[in-house]
Amino acid sequence: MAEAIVVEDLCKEYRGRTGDRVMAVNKVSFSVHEGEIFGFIGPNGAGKTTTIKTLLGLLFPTSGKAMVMGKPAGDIEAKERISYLPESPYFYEHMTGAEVLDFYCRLFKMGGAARRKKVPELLDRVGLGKDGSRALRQYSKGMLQRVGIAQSLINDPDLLFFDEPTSGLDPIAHKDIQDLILSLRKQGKTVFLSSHQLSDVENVCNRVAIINRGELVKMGTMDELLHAGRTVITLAHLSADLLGKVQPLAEHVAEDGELTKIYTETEENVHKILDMTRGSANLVSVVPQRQTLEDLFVEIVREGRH
Amino acid sequence: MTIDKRKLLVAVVVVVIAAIVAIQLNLEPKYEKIVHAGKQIGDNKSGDMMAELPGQFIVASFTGFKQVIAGALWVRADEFFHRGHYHAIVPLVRMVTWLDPHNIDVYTTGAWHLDYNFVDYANTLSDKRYIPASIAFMKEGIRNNPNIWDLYFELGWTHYARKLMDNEMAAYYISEACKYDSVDVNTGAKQRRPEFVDRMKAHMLEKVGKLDEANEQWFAAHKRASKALEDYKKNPKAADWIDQSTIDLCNRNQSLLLLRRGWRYGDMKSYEQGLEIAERVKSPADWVQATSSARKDFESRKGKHWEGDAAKPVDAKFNASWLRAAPRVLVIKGTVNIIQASEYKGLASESFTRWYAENESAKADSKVKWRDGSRVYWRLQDADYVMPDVNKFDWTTNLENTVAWGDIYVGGGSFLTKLDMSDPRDLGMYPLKAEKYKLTIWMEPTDPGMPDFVQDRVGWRGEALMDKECIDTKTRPGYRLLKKEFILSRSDII
Amino acid sequence: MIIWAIARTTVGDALRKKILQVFLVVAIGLIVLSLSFSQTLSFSSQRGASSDFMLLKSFGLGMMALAGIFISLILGVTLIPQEFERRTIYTILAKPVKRYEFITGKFLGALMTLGIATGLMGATFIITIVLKAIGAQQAAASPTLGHVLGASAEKIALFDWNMVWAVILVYLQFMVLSSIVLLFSLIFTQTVNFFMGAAVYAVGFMSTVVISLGGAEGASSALRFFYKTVSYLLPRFDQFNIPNQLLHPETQVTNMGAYTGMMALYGLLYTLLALVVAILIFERKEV
Ligand SMILES: Nc1ncnc2c1ncn2[C@@H]1O[C@H](COP(=O)(O)OP(=O)(O)OP(=O)(O)O)[C@@H](O)[C@H]1O
Ligand SMILES: [Mg+2]
Repeated sequence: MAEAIVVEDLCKEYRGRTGDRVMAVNKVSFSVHEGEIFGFIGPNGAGKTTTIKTLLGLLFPTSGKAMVMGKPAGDIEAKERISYLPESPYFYEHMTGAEVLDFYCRLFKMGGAARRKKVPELLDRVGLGKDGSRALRQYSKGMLQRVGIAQSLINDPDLLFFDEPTSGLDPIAHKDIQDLILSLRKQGKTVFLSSHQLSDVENVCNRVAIINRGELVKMGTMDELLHAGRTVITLAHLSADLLGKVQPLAEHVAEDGELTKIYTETEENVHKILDMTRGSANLVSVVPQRQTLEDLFVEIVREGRH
Repeated sequence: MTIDKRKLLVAVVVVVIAAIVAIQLNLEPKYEKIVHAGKQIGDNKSGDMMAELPGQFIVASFTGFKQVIAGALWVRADEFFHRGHYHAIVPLVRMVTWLDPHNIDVYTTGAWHLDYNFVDYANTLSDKRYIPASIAFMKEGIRNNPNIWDLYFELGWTHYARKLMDNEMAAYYISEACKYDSVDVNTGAKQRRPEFVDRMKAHMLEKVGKLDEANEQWFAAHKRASKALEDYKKNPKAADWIDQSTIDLCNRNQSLLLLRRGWRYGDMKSYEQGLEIAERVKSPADWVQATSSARKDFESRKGKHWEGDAAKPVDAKFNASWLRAAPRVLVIKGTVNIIQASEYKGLASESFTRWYAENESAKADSKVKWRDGSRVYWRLQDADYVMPDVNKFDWTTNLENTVAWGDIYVGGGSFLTKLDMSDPRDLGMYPLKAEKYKLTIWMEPTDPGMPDFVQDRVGWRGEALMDKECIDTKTRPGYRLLKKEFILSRSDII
Repeated sequence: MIIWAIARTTVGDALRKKILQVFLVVAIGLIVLSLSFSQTLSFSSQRGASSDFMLLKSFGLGMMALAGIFISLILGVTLIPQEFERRTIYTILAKPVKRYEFITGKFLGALMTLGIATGLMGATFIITIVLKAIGAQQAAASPTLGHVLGASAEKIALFDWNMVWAVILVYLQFMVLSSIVLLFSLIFTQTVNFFMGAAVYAVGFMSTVVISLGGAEGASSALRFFYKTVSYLLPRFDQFNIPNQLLHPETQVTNMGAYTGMMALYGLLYTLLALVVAILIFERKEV
């Protein structure tokens, strides 16, 4: 499988005017496969936007490698095939929705006829068909976001960078964007989706990377990250002797009065423990625990704070 | 961007900078020619109009409304002229020209006011203390507008010739004027300098006795006028109007110069050349007649030894004196033996002018004994007053000084004038604060007010002038003039 | 094409700046008004119709210069930083737009905006003068009125090419000034840049003073060389500012059209210099 994005040991340091330095991205390595919806999540200030801007060539890496569509970040040819929706995008206010899209079409050297066809098509696609002739000054935040999405679809890109596409949007708009991403997935596009809106990512992403304080802390497919399911076996009246035998198989054991909760990681161990305790203790429940990304995220961020 | 492209761009930067410097080198003289800012003529402190001006005027020049401000100030200056606030005018006018250095009107009108219009009540004499300011102001105008003839001519004629009675300087500046043309205000096209400028140069050169140069100039003026006439005939719409009369004028004047040279100094070659040119002019009738009469005179003298009319000495018997008629009122009077009617008898110039013959044949009551119309000059000033050098003029006019001069008409061989400094309104102009005063009374053939017939008798440089005590050859080397000087004390006047 | 698209959008954006519109409207209004107040101020009693004209022209040129300098500074200072502030630059540079295309488009847009502003002011200015000239000619032609006004003696040209040169020279200096300020806007903050731009204008305007500093008594030859060099590199705004000379063409024996041509070349080179340096800087600038 070809890689849409390859990042190796990427570092980006900001130097303030006063000389203070911020390591916004620190030795980050990952790659995004073609056709994949890649979630890039982290709390505020984690370095998401910095990473995206570096991949687009808007910022220059302090060190490390950043390749996009097989070309170094910022390459003009690669830009023909990618697009970017910035965080709360903003456009020339004096223009109408149609005019601003026409302008962006021109940046792709599209001819007049092609633009006249493309612009209404895009407006329809993002649900602004009726508002194309209104000045952007009169647009709501959600409408501007839609214009942002429309401009990111002009060149029918293979790779899309969405930086927090749903922040500040109402649930319906939220849903529309999720649908859009899903349809892009169906078309085989690659989407690099940065967010701290975990619910978005959870539902649409194939793979997720979690970044905190500039460092990549966890990465994997949704299943790898979440299904790495622990199972909780709750027993009543477990003898201390038996507890001693079970403990090596368990990841974690918690006693709660009469009840003992045994956390295990693998299915094999679940069976072993059930076999060992069968009859000697009362089985209360066996619950396979699928962690939410939320939990994982909070857990990771908390860990980072220590 | 690749490193190579960056290098290329840096190279472009270097080339563009070099091109900018090259263009600037090329532009600088053009710009200088247009603006003439900061160009100094010699040690011309007076040229620095900005010196000693208040700083806020520099700010005014930034606003971009220079000409508007200048226009308003100029109106104000004009009010001052009419109200007689003379001292306020000099700085004001300087500001106007600093803001609007190419407004010719301001220079000519301003300098004219300074020279002519600060007049006393009793004698209608102008205040001569402002003459240096006036001249310096005109020179400033020339410095700012050196490419057109106007101001050179104005300075030479209106100021040096008419006011300072200095034909030498007048000749210099009018000669300068002849080096430049002007520009049409509306079309911006080059415009010919009028013909009279060139003729005036010849006249001025002649007046001061630079005869060869004057003759050359007549040739030049003639040539220029002929060319203009040709152009006009070819294309009457595009060229300025001119006709044969202008060329006749050159011919008549040039022939007169040559004829006079013959008459006054016995130069037969000039005499003959003069006649040849004079005979080319076929009108008016009296000119043709006078020319043929002169031709006869020439033929009668040809081959004989003759030194010219000016070789015969005239005893000027110059006598001048002053007296105090009342406190602050001086009377200047005298006699001068220039020129009795009989002096014209038998002069070569008579063949042409026939003045003596006509006077003789007139009826007894209209016959005159003296040929009147010459002028005597007087000048009263603080004994130690020296006119400030206009080339180093610092724009201050010392109003403690007393300087006055004027001319007196000579009639019947005598002259008389009254200088009344007693009017209370004139005390500012005649402060009489010095202890000693110098009163000079003089007469010179080259002065602009002197009629031609005086030079017919005594020569251009006063060669024939004799006098027991009053001949002066130092004031203007090479020239003879009559001069008498008195030193007066304050109490003599007050 | 891309450059053109960016330039066009920049013009549309710039022309909608309220402050620019205010300067433009006030300048145009005052130029039109000057038609009436040059009559009320009437210097004509002593100086004739031509001095009336001179006043009208001087005022118009001054007004254009003043308004234009502010417009140039405002445009130069804001155009590029606003792209950052409003984050419009991100979407543009994420497209296949080369950085030099963006900068060149911005420069071109600024110059076009200035061209429109100067064109509007200049056209008003020249039309005002022509209207006044027609009025003066009619007054002179009318036997009674012409006599009263004493205008008959003076011939007033309907159209004065020098005013065209003046408008062009005025535009050229805006071009140079805004290019320099655009370049500076990549380095300095807006307030700093505004005053830097004003300072560059003032120093360039007073280049002759800089040169004469070099000629001052006691200046060492090294110092003199330094000032001389500086004066050659400074944008010579004084050389664009010759309204006085253009108002008195009768005192010049110079082809103003040719001079304007030279100044145009000079101005274009200066703009090119600013542009290339700006490209070099922007190429390495993080956005
Ligand atoms: N231009 C800048 N100069 C200096 N520091 C910066 C700059 N931009 C971002 N930073 C710092 O770099 C770090 C990462 O910022 P970044 O914008 O990449 O975070 P983010 O993950 O996008 O956050 P958010 O979710 O709030 O958008 C932060 O600490 C931020 O303060
Ligand atoms: Mg961000």
